[in-house]
Amino acid sequence: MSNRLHQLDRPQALLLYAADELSHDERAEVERRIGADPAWAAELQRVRGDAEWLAGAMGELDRGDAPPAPSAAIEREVVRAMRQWHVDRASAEAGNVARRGWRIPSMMEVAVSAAILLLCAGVIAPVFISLDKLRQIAGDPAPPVVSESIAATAWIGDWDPAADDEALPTALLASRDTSLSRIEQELQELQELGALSDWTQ
Amino acid sequence: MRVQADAYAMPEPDAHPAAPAEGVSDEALVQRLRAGEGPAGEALVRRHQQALIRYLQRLTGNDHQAEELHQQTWLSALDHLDRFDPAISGGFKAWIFRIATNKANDMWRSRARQRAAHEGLRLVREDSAPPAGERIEWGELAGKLKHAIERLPDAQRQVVMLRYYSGMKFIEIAELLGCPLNTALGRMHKAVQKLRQMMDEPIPAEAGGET
Repeated sequence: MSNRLHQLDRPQALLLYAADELSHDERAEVERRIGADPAWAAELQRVRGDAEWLAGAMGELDRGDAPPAPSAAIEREVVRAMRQWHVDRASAEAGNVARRGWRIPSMMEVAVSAAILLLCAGVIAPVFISLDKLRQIAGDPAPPVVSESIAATAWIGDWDPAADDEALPTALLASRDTSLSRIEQELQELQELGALSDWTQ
Repeated sequence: MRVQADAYAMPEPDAHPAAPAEGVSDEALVQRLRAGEGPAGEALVRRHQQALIRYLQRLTGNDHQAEELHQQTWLSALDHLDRFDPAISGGFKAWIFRIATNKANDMWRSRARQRAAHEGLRLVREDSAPPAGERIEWGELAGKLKHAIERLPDAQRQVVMLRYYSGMKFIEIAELLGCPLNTALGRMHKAVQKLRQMMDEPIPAEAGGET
C-alpha cells in the first residue's frame, strides 16, 4: 500500500475509491484488496449504497425545500451589490486620477514661484551692488540721496527685454514695466539735478 | 472496476437560459471581472449561487442567515478578487465555498461568544421558524432528512454539505477545513451512517410539526 492508504482505514480508503480520487497505484492496491478480501467487497457495496442514498435524499430535500428566497431575487440582490462595488471601485480610481492630475499644476506653481524668487534676487542683488559702487564713486561720507531703483540702471542697462519677455509671466512683465517707468522718471529728475554726471560717464 | 465519480456530489445545475458566459471557464470570468467587466461577475453569480445558497441553508439551518452569509460571501470575494490564484486556491468554486465556510464559521464563533453554540442555534431555529399555518408541506423523507442534518455535529455537517454542494474533492475539503484527509473522510463516513440511522428512527415530536 502507498503511504496515503496506510493512513486510512477501510471505509475511508473505499470512500476515496468510490469517489475516484485515488492515484493509479492506490487504486490498483485497493482493487487488489477488494478482490482478495470479501469484507472489503462488502464494505465497498455499503459505501456505494450510502453515496447513492445521500445523493437521492439530498436531491429530494432540495426539490421539496424552497431555497431561502426565489433564485432570481437572490441573484438580483447579489448582482446589485456587485454593481455597487464596481461603481465604488470606479469612483475610487477616478479619485486617484484626479489627485494625480492636481500634481501637475502644483509643480508648475512651484516652478513659477522659484522663477520669481530667482528673478527678484537677480534684481535686488545688483541694486545693492550698484549702491555700493555709487557711494564709492561719490567718495562722500554722506552719499547722494538717490533711490535704490536708480542704481538698478547699471543692471537694467545689460538686460535685453526683447530676449526675455517671452519667458516672463504677464504679471511679472507688468510689474517690471511699472518699475522701469519709475526708474526712468527718477533718473531723469536726478540728471536734471546733475547728481549723476560723474557716475554715468 | 470503475465506479461513478462524484457520487456524493450535487448534479450540476442547468445553465442559465440567458447565460452569456456559457463555455467560459470560471477563471476566465474572474479575469474579465478584474478588468472591470461587470457582466462577467454576474455570470459567476448565476453559475454558483444556487449551490452556494443551498450549502449555506443546510449549514446554518436558517434561511435568513443563509441569505446574509451568501451576500457577505460574494462581497468578500469581490474585495479579495486580486488575491484569487487558481493555482493555489483550487479553482473559483473551491475558493468561493471556502469563503462561504469561513463566513459561516465566523458567524458561529460570534454566536458562541454570546451564548452556548448549541443553545444559540436552537433558539435561532425556533425564532425563525415560520408559523405552523405558513409552513411548507414536506415530503416525509425530506422533512426527516432536514431534521437529521440539523442534528449532525457541525464538523460532520460541513463535510457532507461541502461534498454534496461544492463537489470538491475530499483532499480539497480537508485542506479547506484545515484537517487531515482521514479526519475529513471519517467525518463523512460517520455523518452518512448517522443520517441513515436517524432516517430509520420514528419522526421526533419536535420535527413532526415541520413535516
